[in-house]
Amino acid sequence: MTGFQIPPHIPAELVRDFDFADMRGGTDVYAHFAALHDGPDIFFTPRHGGHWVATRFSDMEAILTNNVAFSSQHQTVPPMPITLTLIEWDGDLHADARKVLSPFFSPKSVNNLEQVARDLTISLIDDFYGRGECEFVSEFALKMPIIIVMSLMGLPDEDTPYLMQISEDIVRSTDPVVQESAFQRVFDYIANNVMPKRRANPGNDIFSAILSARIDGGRPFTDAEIISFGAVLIAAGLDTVASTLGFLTNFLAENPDHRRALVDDPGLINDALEEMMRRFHIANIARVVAYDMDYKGLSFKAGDCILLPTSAAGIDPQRYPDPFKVDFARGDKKTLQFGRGPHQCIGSFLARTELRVFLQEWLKRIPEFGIKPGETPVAVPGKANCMRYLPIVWPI
Amino acid sequence: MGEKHICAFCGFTYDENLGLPDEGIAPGTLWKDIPEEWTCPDCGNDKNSFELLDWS
Repeated sequence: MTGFQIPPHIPAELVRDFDFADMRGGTDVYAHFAALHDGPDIFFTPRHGGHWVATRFSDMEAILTNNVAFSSQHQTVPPMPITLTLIEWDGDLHADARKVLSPFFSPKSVNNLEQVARDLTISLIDDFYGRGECEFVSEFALKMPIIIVMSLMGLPDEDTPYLMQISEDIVRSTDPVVQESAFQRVFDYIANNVMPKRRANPGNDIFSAILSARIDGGRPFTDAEIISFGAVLIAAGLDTVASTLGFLTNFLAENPDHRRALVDDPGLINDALEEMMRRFHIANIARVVAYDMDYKGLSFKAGDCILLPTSAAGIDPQRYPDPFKVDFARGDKKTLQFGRGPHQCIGSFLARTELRVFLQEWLKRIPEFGIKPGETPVAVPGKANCMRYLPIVWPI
Repeated sequence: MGEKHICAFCGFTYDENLGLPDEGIAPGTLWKDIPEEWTCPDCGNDKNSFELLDWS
């Protein structure tokens, strides 16, 4: 932070020292974000190169929806070392790339994957059920979604551990050196292991569709764009679902009344899932101001970066009464968990399916569970908040 | 037998036979007759986000 010059268009009274990824010794991720609601609705922090921070659901929704005034050129703070195909594209190019993926994530396609997710969930639980305990993150949350994504992409199971670590480094690290190394490894993997095989022998998988697609008035994706696209899919498909699985399971481990309500009436699971995802938003994303403008009396300059910590949106008391309470009967189900507007997560239906299947099958097999005595779960904020360590036990 | 249309983001399903009486859409209202400005009651996405549910 030393030496950072606050740009002249930033009012001094709106400068706060806030690092979204650093709780400064705190342990409650959502208390870290809830504290934002004690200050101005929008402020500027010199952290990560200097950026605005929106703190309210309403502003985040407005900014996400307006893709003309707010570009997706950088989806993260700090910006990624490369431009990410699809998610950091705007306008027609973004729409072209999205159309390539759409058939793979439609409800009909995902419906065909539901049994795969169910069988996988049961198999993973069977692996550790007899021990009466597991470290949930490493033994379940990180495995289940990446195996689904690998299946969608037609990648071999034996490559899963390698790609899991790469995905972790891309999404969870704020260290540019770690990120660049991860990108290089995934680039090498896709360039050397995936593209030659798909070009020689196309299939019905996503990579084959990307290789044969035409965008931007009729040109194919460049090799660099394809490789970046693959990195996005691997990282996005793994991390947000894994993180949400962690927060949901931690909540249910610590709240037996909520857990037993779902065990007694599995018909509540859909509503419960939406409410728990509201309470535990994961993504803290960014947008870039496209042109100089006034926004609610503030002067935004072209190129300014705005952090949209949806982790704060989900617990915004201006939007949700009693926001920290998890109420499966809450009427307001509209959230920003999967973003909003043209860049809304294309995989949200798949993610919801994976999470619903998990709850259905886990609670059938392990209806009673809790945090392992003497242990403390570890959760950290980031571009995607994550549960790092979640030791749980159950009676056998 | 009426059609069903499913939101591609959240899975909310509109059933023509049931309509959405809470939103003033009577049972039997066809999907094509629902106003274009209507949005998904669960996630807020627009009518274009729905696809025909032709499997079960």
